Amino acid sequence: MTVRRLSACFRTATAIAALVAVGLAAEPAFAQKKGGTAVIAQEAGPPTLDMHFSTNIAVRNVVMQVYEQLVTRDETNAPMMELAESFAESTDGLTYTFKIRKGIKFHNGKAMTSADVLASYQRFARVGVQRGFFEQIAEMSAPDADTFVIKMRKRMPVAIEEFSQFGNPVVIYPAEQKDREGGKADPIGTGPFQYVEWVADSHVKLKRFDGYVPDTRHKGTNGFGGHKVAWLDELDFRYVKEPVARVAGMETGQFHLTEDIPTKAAKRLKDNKALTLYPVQRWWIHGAWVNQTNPPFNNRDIRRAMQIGLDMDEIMDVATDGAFDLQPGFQYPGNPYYTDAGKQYYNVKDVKKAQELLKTAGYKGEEIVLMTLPAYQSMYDAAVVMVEQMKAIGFKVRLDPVDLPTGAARQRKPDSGWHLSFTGLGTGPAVGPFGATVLLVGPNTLSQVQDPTFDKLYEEMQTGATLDARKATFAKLQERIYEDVKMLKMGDLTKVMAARSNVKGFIPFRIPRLWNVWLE
Amino acid sequence: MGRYIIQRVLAAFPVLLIVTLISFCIMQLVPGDPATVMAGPQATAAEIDRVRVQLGLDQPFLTQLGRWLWGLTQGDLGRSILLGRNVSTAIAERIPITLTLALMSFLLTLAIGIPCGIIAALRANTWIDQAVMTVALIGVSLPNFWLGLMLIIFFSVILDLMPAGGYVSIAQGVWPWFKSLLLPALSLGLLQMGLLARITRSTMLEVLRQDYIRTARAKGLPTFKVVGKHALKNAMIPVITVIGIIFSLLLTGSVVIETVYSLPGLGRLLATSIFSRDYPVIQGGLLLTAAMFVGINLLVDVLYAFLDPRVRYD
Repeated sequence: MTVRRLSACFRTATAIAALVAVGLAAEPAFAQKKGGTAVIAQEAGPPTLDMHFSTNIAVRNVVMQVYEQLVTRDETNAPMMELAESFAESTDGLTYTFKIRKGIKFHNGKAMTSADVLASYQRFARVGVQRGFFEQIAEMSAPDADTFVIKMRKRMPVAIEEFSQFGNPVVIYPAEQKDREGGKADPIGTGPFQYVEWVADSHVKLKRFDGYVPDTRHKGTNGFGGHKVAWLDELDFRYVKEPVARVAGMETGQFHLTEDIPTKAAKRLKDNKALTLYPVQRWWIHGAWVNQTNPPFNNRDIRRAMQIGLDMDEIMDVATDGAFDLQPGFQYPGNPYYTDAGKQYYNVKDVKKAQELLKTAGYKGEEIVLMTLPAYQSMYDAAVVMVEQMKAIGFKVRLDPVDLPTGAARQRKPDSGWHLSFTGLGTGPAVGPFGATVLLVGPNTLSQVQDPTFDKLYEEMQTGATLDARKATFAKLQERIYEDVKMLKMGDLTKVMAARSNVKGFIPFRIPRLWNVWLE
Repeated sequence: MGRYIIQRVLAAFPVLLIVTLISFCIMQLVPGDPATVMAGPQATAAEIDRVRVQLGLDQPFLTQLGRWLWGLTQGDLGRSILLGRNVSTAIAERIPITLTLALMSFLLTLAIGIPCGIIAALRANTWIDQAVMTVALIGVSLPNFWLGLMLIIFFSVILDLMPAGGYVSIAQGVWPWFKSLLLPALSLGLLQMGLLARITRSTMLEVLRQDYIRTARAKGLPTFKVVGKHALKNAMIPVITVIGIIFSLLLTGSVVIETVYSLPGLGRLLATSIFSRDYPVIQGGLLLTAAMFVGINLLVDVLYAFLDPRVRYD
């Protein structure tokens, strides 16, 4: 097999990752201390510990301390190797050959080989929630204990991005788990912490895995990979739904770390020396799916009137208490795929023009229903402001607050009486352009009307030979979202994580990473 | 009496069956299912459908209902979709916390509510009466979730005397265990204390106006004997009815309080299951709650007979 080295994207990412890793390893080594239990308060409990079977962030928060991937994402969300020692792509772009790191052990003491990687990939192809891309795989094999080979049906330059995605990570289980049904795999991984106990509506306990073999190619924390050391004896993830209780627990020292502090509380706590706050900018995109089948939103001009009449500054300010950024992209500035395509439609706030357009479009006062999720205060507040702004434009509007499963079910039914369905795009945009746009692709698009042009562009992005080609296609996709008013983007929300001041080495990321973290 | 109890127990079965059927039908009508929760918000419709099939949620309504009822006849409440264990096991693990919380709250309610009601009745239309009744009115009016949050801020954050939430088992120490339940019990019980104080006051006032009380006073009995021996026992019949209702309310009120204080009891299990549409747990939890209501009502009826010799059920 003729082999050429990694793609330009992958090489660049590796270089950036190395720089980041060096920078992040700046904590003096003598300060690190083994021992102690960190109590982490998180908003929601995981519905399962089987990482193949969920895209839920509450699952990732816990189990990404336990499992590892063949390839994962670095601090900039670019692909990097984790359990893979090296990786090569054949010149025809159809075959990916991974060499597996030696000496890695599972938490049950078994040595990890390519047979485990093969079995895990085969299981993901069978039960993985986001296994759609795996349909592009023609064949997988493990020719020897250290080698894992994937053959694609057709050239898919984004394959490594897909295998390393962390929305529904392809984590490596022991081969014995291969035939387990979705949600039924034992929580055995190769990560720095191992499973101890899970009480589903209460807590998950993990402990240090003494047999963990750190990746010596790196010097410190880097995305989901890097050089990991478990300094803490135990991790105790507690499910604390009530924000006031989370904040109180942080203030009293009952919890060491929390993934989410309400913005108002963060303002109050910023001078509290016992706590360190970590604002994580651009945590998710606040938005609303637009139901293009429900009259009068089957008329694009009426959708446009709403789009150009809204004031996103005001909506985001009220929704997030000032913790937001405004930019039109469905990727974030600094991301390789970032583009401001479609900006002419974003945050125009021209009420007069919107009113004129509404009149000429033939709006007859039909009621517009805004379906929102009170479980997320910011979504509810955004909807409340939007109701008033839409009334000022001339719409007749009704707010329809629902719980999460109801919203998730109704937003997939075009005839269930909604026009706008509020949402937050968190992991999707962070994973890349595919995650940011996939929910608008195909017959199940959340804008409810399949758009062949959009679908064709999405496919073109998957097969684009170079990063520049894919970027150009993504710009067209983003432009199309705005042009056709498939979704309203409001702004990017900043999330505030917090840790007690005696928690050292913590670097905020999309999940709280508890390796390379110690207590003083 | 024995025959009466057997009749009541037998009569409970149709009630529980109706509860089961109604809860099953309601949950089927509510939009959303566990597949959407399990798959997560980033999953596409096709991905959610695949999860739905794997969880067996694509089965027809009658098949699912039949399976649930068949299991019930064999004492099997089914298997939780999201907890990965039998519903009866999950409930058995959590019910001790809920019962302990309800019992602690119940004792606080009795210890504070009844004496307050008696004092208010004995000092009727004085400033003491008005002060007690004002506090009782505030207790009745405050939503317990709000009170819970305020107690957390005051006792945990400001005074640093109590934990902000979470459960400590008695095995880890009696005092930490007691502290972990005290604020939740207070939050849960305050409304009921107010209610009990008001009921006790009004029934005591009525009894204190009776001829036999006047006679007892005329005989020269000391006040504590008049109140303790003659008035209180006779005032207890309506109070016992309310106490039965109060205990039931304390059990169901735990849904909110256990969520606020992050206590892993039956209430929080039910709340979590409702928001994640874990049907078997919801059905099992509701069935158990209904059974507890029936049991408490029966107990109250039996207590009547002990308190009032005129009451006979045969």
